Formats: sequence, structure tokens, C-alpha cells
Amino acid sequence: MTPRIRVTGLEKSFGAVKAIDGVSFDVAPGELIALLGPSGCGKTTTLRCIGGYDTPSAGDIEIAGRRVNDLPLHRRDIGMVFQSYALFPHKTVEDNVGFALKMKGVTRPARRQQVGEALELVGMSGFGARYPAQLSGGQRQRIALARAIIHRPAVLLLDEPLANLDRKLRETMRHEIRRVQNAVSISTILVTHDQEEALVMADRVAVMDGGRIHQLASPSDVYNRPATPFVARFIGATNFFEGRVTMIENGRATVQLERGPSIIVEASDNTVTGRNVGISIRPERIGIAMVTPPDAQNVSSVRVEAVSYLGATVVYTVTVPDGPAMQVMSALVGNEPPFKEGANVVVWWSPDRSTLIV
Amino acid sequence: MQTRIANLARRPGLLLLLPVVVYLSAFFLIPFLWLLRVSLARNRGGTGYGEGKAFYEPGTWTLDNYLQFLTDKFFLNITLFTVELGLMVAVISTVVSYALAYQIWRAPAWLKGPLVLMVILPKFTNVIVLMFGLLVVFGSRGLLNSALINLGMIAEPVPMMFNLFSVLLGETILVMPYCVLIILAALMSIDRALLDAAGGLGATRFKAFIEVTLPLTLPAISVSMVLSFMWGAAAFAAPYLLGKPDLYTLAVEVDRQVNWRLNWAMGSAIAIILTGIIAACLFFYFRQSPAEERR
Amino acid sequence: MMRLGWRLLTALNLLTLAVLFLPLAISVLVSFSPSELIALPDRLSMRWYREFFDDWQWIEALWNTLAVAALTIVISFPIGLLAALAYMRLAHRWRSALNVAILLPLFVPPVVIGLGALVFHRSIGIWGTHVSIALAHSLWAMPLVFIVLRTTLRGVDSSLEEAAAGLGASPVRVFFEITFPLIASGVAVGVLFAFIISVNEFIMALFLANSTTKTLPVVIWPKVRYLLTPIVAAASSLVIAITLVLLVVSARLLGLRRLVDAR
Repeated sequence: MTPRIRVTGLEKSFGAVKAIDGVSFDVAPGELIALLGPSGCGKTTTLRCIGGYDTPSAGDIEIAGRRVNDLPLHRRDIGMVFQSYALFPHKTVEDNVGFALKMKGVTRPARRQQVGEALELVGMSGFGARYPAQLSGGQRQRIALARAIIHRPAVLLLDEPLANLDRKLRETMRHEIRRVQNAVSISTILVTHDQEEALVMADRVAVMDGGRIHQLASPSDVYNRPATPFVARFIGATNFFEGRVTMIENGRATVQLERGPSIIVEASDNTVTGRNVGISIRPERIGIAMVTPPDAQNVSSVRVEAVSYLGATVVYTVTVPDGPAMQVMSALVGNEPPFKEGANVVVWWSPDRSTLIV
Repeated sequence: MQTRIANLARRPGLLLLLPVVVYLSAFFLIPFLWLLRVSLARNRGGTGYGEGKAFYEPGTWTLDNYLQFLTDKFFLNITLFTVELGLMVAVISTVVSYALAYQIWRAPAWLKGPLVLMVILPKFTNVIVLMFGLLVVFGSRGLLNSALINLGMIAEPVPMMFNLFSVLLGETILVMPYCVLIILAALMSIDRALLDAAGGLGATRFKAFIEVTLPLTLPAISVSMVLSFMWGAAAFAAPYLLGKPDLYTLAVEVDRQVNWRLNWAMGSAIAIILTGIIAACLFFYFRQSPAEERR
Repeated sequence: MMRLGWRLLTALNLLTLAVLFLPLAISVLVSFSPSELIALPDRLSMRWYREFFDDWQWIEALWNTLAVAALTIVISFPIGLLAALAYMRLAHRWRSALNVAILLPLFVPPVVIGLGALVFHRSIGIWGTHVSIALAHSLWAMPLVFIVLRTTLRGVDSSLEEAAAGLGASPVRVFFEITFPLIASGVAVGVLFAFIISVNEFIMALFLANSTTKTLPVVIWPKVRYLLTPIVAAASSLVIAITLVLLVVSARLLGLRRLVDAR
């Protein structure tokens, strides 16, 4: 299938600063891609270039197979939801939602029906006569969404759409946006700094930093198989070690850490003996117990240095003698954490739970 | 050509600027240069209001007007008085405005609006109306004198008009509203927490004013001084209507040269000199304290 | 000690306010006097207003004043608006240059502007017309329009304009659908300022009017000095009345703002 959106070699400089430095990706029809990264990583600039709000310094943007670089903003066939929603304060909900149709010359009676449908889709029927000032944050969000999709644009752009909502509402709206997006089956790019939001909502996540995409993959791959140290650290918490590959055997590599023990991990295609590599292991993928269970691999005897009680889970900071410290998270079955500070325990994990980063 | 138009269209800012650039060049810059030119021409002499004719001799170049200005004691005195008046207006209106702005700032919220309105309302009316009102109140047959005589406090009307007092009064009234607004804006931008903090550290209200409020409003005070000097030095209506010939300013002299003596060349030279005085003052001010950078 | 200082300050400021405000109030009162003398009226009379409207010279002056003010709006408003729109699109260092250039005429003494316009307008043959006076008045009106609209435009969330453009509105439609309604209050204030400046300005007009285009202030001007009768007060009061009516109207228009600010 041809992609709806294709971005190739996109660059954008502000003076001497490169805000985007060679970004390329495709979005399939109906797909939702999240651009995720810390502030200043270039995700919003990428979105604004696609939308036509900024002019890229280099690279191409194609929408539905057509290069749109030189198309002015108002001819790009794009729907956008702004972080501030940007609802026109002097227009009613109906006029806000129907704005794109009005610009296309659709008459008011004809608009009315489509506006009604759009409002129904976002669960806001009956609010047409109100002004934005008379709506709550979540309601404004829904109206902004309805306004962005009413003209059936080829692409929907969401710029931190949930940043201004409180936590509870945010969780509801994640599913609402996804439901509406599925219902109209529109290719969507979501910009967010909230990894949970990206993982929950997106089909694929592009993790960005320093104007580049570090990894573009499914949420579980981004989480479980981070491609770069940055991705490993940015998405969730992780234990990150550096070491050297000493042996490769049966698709498994043995890595001697700089300090401490050696570790067995699943090798990737480009793993070479003697190479310096990084290893990422999620805290919750590590087992912890008083005694070593049978078949356990990568077993280390450690000492519990600190215990952080988080209600549903507990995080232990443990140290390997002469080795690095690491974080281990485990679900709490009882009311109190089973291990106290100073306890001597064992930790282990299986090689396919950790990721080798070359 | 095509690309140049495309470039212009992509930077609409430049196209939007076109009208203002054309207007200011044609009706501000060129007239000023023309004025400069006329000030360097020989005067035609008082005869004839010829159609489209000007009261100077086109094509002549001379420094006579400036030389005459510099050598004639009459003009020197006017210049000195103009600068003096500017300085007096600057000091008086800044001090009085500060006092007023300060109390408006401290006034309860409901009173602020009406007070500000009272200050700026005179600005929305005619200069001449204000001068006229002053004459009605302070004239020798005016309301104040009649009241004082009726009360038996004085026997003869006290001359309050057509002297330095009335000129200063008139010009200060014209300039004050701006000064009040400038100082009030500066006061309003002071974080009240600073004053609370000063109070908490043991400063009396007066001490807090000296230590916190006054230093923070210094930039506004200097802006107020400069502006009121400029307007005071350019004074026209108050000296003319409320003064007498030895209280006339350069601006009044411009009018007299041009409209009465029909000596446009001399009038132009005086206008250029007046502009020069004000420009020099501005230049000096901006070199001393770049007010915008301090903010 | 403190209280005494505060009271003295209050007394000083009351005096200041009285001096600022009394001339205005009293010249209005005097205009309703029935007598030839400048005095507070014992009863109210419209005598001087009748005389005003009986005299073609005054009526012509009123007409000239309104015509020049209208022309001043026509000249200064579009130029100031476009300049303010340009300002928003300019890079920072160009902004301050534009600011200085536009505000400069406000600091030039009116006699200088008036005389400069006199010599120039004569040579291009427009001297003595309403347009000539309005062109000079616009040198003060346009900067005020510019300042007011610049401030108002700053308050417009640029993402609103972007949103409209993204929904298919061309730049011109963005302006009329979004920007203009949002700055309507600023537009009203800007137009009002231009009008008030023109109605009240008299020094430039003094240099630029011929015997048939004299505005009210130019006609009043010599009479204040030499022929002090209440008709001058009546004429002055008319100028004040026109200004006040416009102020009230624009305050009404400002009601638009409430809707916008309710966000």
C-alpha cells in the first residue's frame, strides 16, 4: 500500500541551530504514528513542517503521493489539533466546526448536517450554539478534533493534544481520540512528550532526540528492544551497562562488563566479538529472590541498598559486589516489601529479556 | 521576475510596509528636507501673495538666516527662554505627576478608573479649550478673582494670567497626563510582594518608598522628564495665549515669522533649530540611558 | 507624621486634579450662559449655540473640522493597520527600526510639521485643501493607530490564524474571518484616536488652512485672545461633545471584547 504521508530527509535550521536534522518516515493509511521525545527534540517542528506552518530547509514531504513542500498552508488538505486547541473565540461551536467547509464554499444549510454528524462523532451533539468560552477543557478538545476532521483531510496532525487536560480526563481522551481516528480511518501524526500517551495511542512510535529519529517501531519494540541508549533511557526506566563482547555462540553473546560479571544476551545480526556494546535491562524484567530458582540465567548475588515502596510495586536498588548498581522492580503481592535494606539476595534474568545496543 | 514576485509574496511583511514607507517618505521626510532647503534660501521680502508663489526666493543659497539668528540678541533670548521653559515644565510636571500617579496607584481599585479618566480627559479635548478654561478661571475678571473679591480677601484682582505662572500652568496641564500615565504604568508593574517584603524586613512605608519604589520607577521618571522637556520646549499655545511677547518661544516665533512677517526662510531656519535642540536632547538622553534596555 | 504627609499629598493632588479638570468643566458651563460676559450662568440658555448655528462661518468651520477628521481616518487607519500587520511579521531588529520610524513624527514639534507641510504642499499644489491638513494630521494619528493595533494584534493567539489557514482559509480570508473580528475593539479605539487627534489639532491646521478650509480650532484661536465671548465656549463645547459621543460609542463597541476575554 502506498503511504499517505512520506517524509524524506527533512531538515530545518533556525539560524545556526538545526532543529530537525534528516528525518524520514512513512505513515500508512489509517495509521497513527507518535513523534515522542523531550522538548527541543524537533518533534513539533517536524509536525509544523508537515502541516505547512514552517518551511523546511531541506527534504521532501509527500501527502497521498503528491509533493506538498511548496503548497501554502491553506491548500494542503490537513486537519490539525493545536495544543491550545485554537478555537475561534468569536465563533460558536457550530461555526468553529464548520469553518473548513465554509472556506470550501459549502452553504450554511449543507454545513449544518455535516457539523451535526461531526459533533455526534465526538459526543458533543447539542453544543452547536455555544461559544468556546462556555466549554470545559475536555469539551474544547472534542470540538477541536471535530473541527480538524470535518473536511475529511488526508492527514490529521495532533500537537500535544492532551497536555492541557488533567490526568483523569487525559486517559479518557486518549481512547476517545483513537476511537474517532479509527472511525474516520485517517492517517495521523501525534506529537507528545508523554511516553505513556505514545505507547497507548500509537501504532508506531518514533522516538526523537537532537532533531533525529532514534527508533521507529511498534510500542512494544520501542520498549523492549530500544535501538539506542537514548531510547532505552527515555522510554521507561532501565538498567544500562556497557561492556565488550567476548564470545558469540548459538545466537547468544557473552558480554564482559567493564566492572563486575559477564552477562549473556541475545545477539543481534551485527554483533561482533570484541566490540563495545551497551545492554539495557528493564527493572521489572529482573527476578529477585532469596535463593536461585532452577534454570535461572545471568544470576548475581547482590545486596539490597535501598527500597522504594510505590504501592502496587516496589523498586530495589541492589549492588553486585565489585560491580554496578541496578534497579529491580517487582509486583507487591503482600502489603510489605519482602526484602529489607541490607538483605543479601539473588537477581537474574533470561537473555531474551535484555537488549544489546550496538 | 516571476521568482522575485514569488519571493515578495512569501514575505508579505514587506508588501504591507509599502504604504507606510511611501507615506512617511512623501509627507514627513520630504517636507522636512524641503524645510531645510527653504531655511537656506534668501527671503523674498514681504510683498505679494502670488498664486502658488512661495515667500522665499527659490534657487538661492545662503546662510544668512542662521547667521542672523546667531548674531541677534533677540533670537538668543527666545532660545534661552525656550530651553528654560522646557526644563521648568519637565521638572514641575514630573514632580506633580509623580505625586498624583503615586496616589492613584495606592487608591482603592474602584477609584482608580475614574481618577485615570479625570487625568486623561483633558487630553481628549482641544488645547485652546483648555487655555480658554484657564482664562475663565484665572483671568483678572475670572472666577477665582471674583470669588476672592466677593469674599473680601482681596480688593484688586490679582494678575494671574499673561505671566510666567500662567504659561507654566498652561503648558504643564498639556504635558501632565502623559507623565502621569508613564509613571503610573511603571508603578503598576512593581511587584507588590517587593513592598510587602520590605515591610516585613522592618521598613516603614516611607523607607520602602525610598528604597524600593523610587529606584524601580527611575526609568519612568527620566522618560517623563525627557518627554515633557521636548513638549515644553516646543510649546506654542500656552505662551501665545497665556503669555506676552517676552514669554514667547521659538515655536511662537516660527508662526510670527511665517504668518505675520511672511519671512518663510527665517521661519524655516528657526524651525530647524528648534528641531535640532529637541533632537540633541533626545540623542543625549538615549546615550546616557538606553531606557529600553533597562526594562 | 506619616498621616500628615499623606494628607498633604492628598491636598496637593486634589488641587492638581482641580486644575486639570476645572478649565474643561467651566468652559462647558460658560457656554450655556445667557449673558455677553464670561461668567458662570445664573440660568441655562442655548443662546450661544443658536448664534453658532446661525453663523455660516462657524458652520463652515464645523464642516471643515469633520471633513478633515474623516479624511485623517481614511489616510491614517489603513496605513497604520498594514504597518502593524507588517510589524508582527518582522524579525526583531527590524521591528525596533520600524517603531522608531513610525513614532518619530510624534516627537517633532507641530510648528515644524506644519511649516514643512506648508512649503511642500504649496509646491505640489494641494495647500489649503482638506486633504493637505489631513495628510499632516495623519502624521500624528497614524502612529497612534499603529500603537493601538500593534498592542491588540499581540494579544491575538497566532495559532488561531494558523488553525484557520490549516482549515483552508487563504491569507486574506484569515484576516477577515479571524484576525479582524478579534482586533475589532482595537480598530475602534484606533479610529477614535485618529478622529480625536484631528478634531483637536490646530497648530498644523493653522499653517495649512486657507480662508475657506479653517477648522474649528483655527477659527476659535484668535478669538480667545481678542474677542472673548461665550460663543467661543459654545464652539469649544461642541468639540468636546463630539469627542465624548465618540468615546461613549467606542466604549460600547469595546463590549465586543468581553466575549473574547471570557476565555
